[in-house]
Amino acid sequence: MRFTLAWLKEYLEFESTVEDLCEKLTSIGLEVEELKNPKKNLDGFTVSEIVEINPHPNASKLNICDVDNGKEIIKIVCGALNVKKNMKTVLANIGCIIKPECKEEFVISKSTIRGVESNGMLCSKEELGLSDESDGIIELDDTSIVGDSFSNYIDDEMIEIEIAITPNRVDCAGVYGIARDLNASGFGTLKTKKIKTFPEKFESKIRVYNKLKNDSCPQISFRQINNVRNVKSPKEIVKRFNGSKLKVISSLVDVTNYLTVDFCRPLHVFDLDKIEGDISIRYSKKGESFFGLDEKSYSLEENMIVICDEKKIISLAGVMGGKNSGCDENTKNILIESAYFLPEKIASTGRKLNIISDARYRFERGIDPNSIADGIGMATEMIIGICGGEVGSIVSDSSPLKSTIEINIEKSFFNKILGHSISENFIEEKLKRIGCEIKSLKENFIVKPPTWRPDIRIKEDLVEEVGRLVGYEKIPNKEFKFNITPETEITSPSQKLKRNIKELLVSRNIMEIISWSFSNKRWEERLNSNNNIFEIENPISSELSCLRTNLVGGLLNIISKNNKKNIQNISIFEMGPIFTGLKPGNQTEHLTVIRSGKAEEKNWTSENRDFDIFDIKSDLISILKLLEIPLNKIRIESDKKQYYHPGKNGSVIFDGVKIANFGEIHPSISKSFKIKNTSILLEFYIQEIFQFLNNSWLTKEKLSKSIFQSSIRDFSFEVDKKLNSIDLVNHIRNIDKEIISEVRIFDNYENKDFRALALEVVIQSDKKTLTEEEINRLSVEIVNEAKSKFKAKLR
Amino acid sequence: MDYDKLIQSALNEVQASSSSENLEKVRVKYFGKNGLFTKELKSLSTLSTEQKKVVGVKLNDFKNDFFSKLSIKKDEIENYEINKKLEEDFVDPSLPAREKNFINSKIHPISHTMNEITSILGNMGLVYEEGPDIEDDFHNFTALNIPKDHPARQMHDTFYLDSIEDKYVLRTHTSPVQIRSLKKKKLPLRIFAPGRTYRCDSDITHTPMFHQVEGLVVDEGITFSNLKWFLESFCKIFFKKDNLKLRFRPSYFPFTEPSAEVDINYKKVSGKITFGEGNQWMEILGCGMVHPEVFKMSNIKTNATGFAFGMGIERLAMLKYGMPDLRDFFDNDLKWLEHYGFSFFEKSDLSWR
Repeated sequence: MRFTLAWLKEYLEFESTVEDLCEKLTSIGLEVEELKNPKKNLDGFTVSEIVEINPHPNASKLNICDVDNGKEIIKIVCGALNVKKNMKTVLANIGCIIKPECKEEFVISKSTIRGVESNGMLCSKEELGLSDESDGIIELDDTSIVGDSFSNYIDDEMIEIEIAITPNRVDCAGVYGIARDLNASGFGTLKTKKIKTFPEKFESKIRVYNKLKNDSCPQISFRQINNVRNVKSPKEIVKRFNGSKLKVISSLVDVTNYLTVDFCRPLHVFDLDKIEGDISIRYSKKGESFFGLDEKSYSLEENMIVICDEKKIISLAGVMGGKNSGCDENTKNILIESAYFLPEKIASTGRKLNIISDARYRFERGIDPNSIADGIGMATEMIIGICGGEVGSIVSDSSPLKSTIEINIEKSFFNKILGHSISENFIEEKLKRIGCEIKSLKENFIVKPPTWRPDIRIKEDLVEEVGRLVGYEKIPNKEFKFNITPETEITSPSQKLKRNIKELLVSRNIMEIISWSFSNKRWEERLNSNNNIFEIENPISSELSCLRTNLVGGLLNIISKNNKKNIQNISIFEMGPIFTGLKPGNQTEHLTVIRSGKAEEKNWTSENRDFDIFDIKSDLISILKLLEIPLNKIRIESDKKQYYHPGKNGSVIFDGVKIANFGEIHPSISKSFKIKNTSILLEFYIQEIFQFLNNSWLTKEKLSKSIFQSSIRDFSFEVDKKLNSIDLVNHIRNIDKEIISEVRIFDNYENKDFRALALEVVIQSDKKTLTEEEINRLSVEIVNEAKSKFKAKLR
Repeated sequence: MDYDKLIQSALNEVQASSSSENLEKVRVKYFGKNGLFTKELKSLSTLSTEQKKVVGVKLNDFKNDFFSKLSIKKDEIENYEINKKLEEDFVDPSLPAREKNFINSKIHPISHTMNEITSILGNMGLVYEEGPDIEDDFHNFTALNIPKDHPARQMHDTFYLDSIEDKYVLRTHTSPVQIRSLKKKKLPLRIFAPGRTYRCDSDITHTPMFHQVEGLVVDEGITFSNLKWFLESFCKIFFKKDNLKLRFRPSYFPFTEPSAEVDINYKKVSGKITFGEGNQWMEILGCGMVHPEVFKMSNIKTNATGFAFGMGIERLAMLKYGMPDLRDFFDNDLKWLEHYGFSFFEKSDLSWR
């Protein structure tokens, strides 16, 4: 909501500065978003007269002006086309600071322009922030006095204020309402609005049939005025509209727009000669079409409020007038409409048709239902004043005004909510000032809010009004304490673990990233194994049109983007939600790590190899260790996920549940993301693991350590190329769990037709030192088992 | 046998040796298996008792002397050899260290800021809650006193997930967690809920996904002045400024009444912002007293009152750590992350920060 200072001063008398005014507005909940006060930047600018003009000897487009600044005649070089002898204009003296809206500010100094000295600058409106366009230097009228400070010539109509109106404060979507609220807060004196009445010169023949009288259009009135001239609006209105960023159209339309902003009273003016027969107000039928003043055609749904004549829809009530009945320069006879429509109805119509208008904005927030007659009266006064004409009678078809609600509030309630006691007198006075009727009983107030405050409905609303008018800064801060019990857990075990995992991965030099929860069809088609794509109805872009079902696409995209910036060796992870459906709860948490490029940056100490799946497996193991998951209960199998390299991947099974996948990314996937480097992926389904976690680790089991000597035996087997080596390891360990304490692969050799595995077996008993014979017997058994179960030959 | 001459030449040879090999040869020559003195010592048994005594003592004395001189010479030579070897054993210590990555990995600043907020609110007695990213109309709007066709809905550029009834949405704020907690938990209630939120808006100050943290405290006797104290304490701790001033401005949220927006004071000197000084104001959060409709919608009949607040995590991070552009948070440029991210050592917890 934008208005000029002069507009506000029409209703509020005050002495304070505009800066104080703005502070007050903000403090009562009408947040000032912009104050444009050109006066502030006009120190040292003086009204001056050009007394002589001579062409610049060295530049055809420049003139040398002799300028009288009230003290002396100085020479100024000027390039403006509109310089004239005896013209009064604005001079920026040496030292003045010019702050153009969009350009950098600069200080005026003595300068030499093409060999001629210049002692200041003659200014355009743009340079002084008075206008957005530059059309030569300012031309002041003859009454201006040479030598005056130009800031005296900035009137309040040029000081612009923009405030943000919260959806509840429709009453302040009008300048008068703002003045009323300021007054209630104790700022300034309110000048009440007086509306002049005109005698009716004739009886209107038009009939109104309001079919929605008991429904969504309880109030509607029309006034006919004949023989108007739809001239241009007077310059005072034009100036005010310019300062308030309102569009100047024609006086009849300008009057309705004026009153919309002035009194929050949206109105409409029809060209009566374009209306055929009587008027009715009804609901639209599905598919009816409407051509609006915005020159757009709308197909209506059912149950939108429309105003019709006998042939056509002439207005989409409360939202926009029809082109077919609008005023133009030839309009002679008019019909002013002033009405109250139910806010929800206007909101739904506006939303469905996606029409944004000043009228809709106010009607859907709920204007004063008691402003129908005032609206007609104010419009009549303005139109007669500007356009002339004969005033006709008012035609209405309304239901009686509903009596407003009464709120019964305990006097102690203010203190209960605010935590600050406020005197009864103060409460009464403030509520009266905002227009409430108030009755004080022993323990309670009975409060009747004014018709222009539809937002005041319950006790809490009254508390806010009083709190706001007291000033939130006056309410003291009061400390309070909770008792934190020993059982209080601020974060859950899984929340703690998630944080630990993040920090672990960062410590392994993997960067944490956060990417969109969104994905797109291309990614989903490549990376989604379930073929369920979850599309958003109204996506922000085709790149972000779906909900992600895994984190892989987002991470690959980030690698690709960083590759373009020539960062090649990348390790990143994200922990975040992925979606399994389109309903609340259809989501789970994934952790995904990708390592791409070289395992080490090019360096002089070692050859730089690519990352491979055993790098990422080591990340995986570090997480499993952190979670205290026994590694010997983990099974690793090959998997068939389509975006993994078919020969270089594994899935991780714990207790029958797949908790992770890892492997090299399928080269064709990398290619589709324009990634040239080998990329290794780990997908950890962290939500799956939480079910296994034992979160009561207060006491630890006793550490048992064997005191007897351990022996180590190495074995080298020739094995099948496709052997899952963990199966061999687990099998050997299970030969005798009592004494085989560890089985470890320490070498894997492969060539075209041969693969060998080297294992180290640690043998140790809790009970005794094993004899050579016992160890040898076990060794034989290991060799035999390997041979019979895995066709492994001892080498 | 002229022992003296032999002894003299043996000691001379030890003295004259210049390498370990050389020295070893001298040892073998005199005391090896077939060394000159070894033979002599063996032949002692053939001598008379008288001679044995004289010669034996002499030879033994010499043997001791020989080996002690040999050992000294050996050390001398070895030291010399080590030093000589070291003269050629040289690396350029200014060569780069063994380093795997040039980029130093960090915790994302959003995670770090969330951890900080968690620590502060946790210490102030609130408990971490979570809610789903996909919400239904009831929890995201209706229960928060934002009925359909309420103008406040227009302020939320909502992502819809189904076309027919607009029933499911990506949550536009973390406030639905208020409803879920009120329905699930018993009073008194004090929770905070950080998380992802979504709005269909993208420009220099908006991203379609961002993070918020919600706070809710419901108990008998909770007042607006408690809310003021609580948020002032939070902000002072978060920004580490005891002189930080807060300005509570009346505002509007459908689910609180009274409602306020909160600004903190700052001054800007040649582009640098300092909080807690100066008299300019920067908005940082929204808050208010829980609206009775919210209790009603959550099926709570109570005489208790409560306050709620919500803030944008990116905004708090930007204000505290000075990232200039919101969009960079989700661009994931590794250089940006390295610069604005946090080492895992950098403790966000109150007791260690």
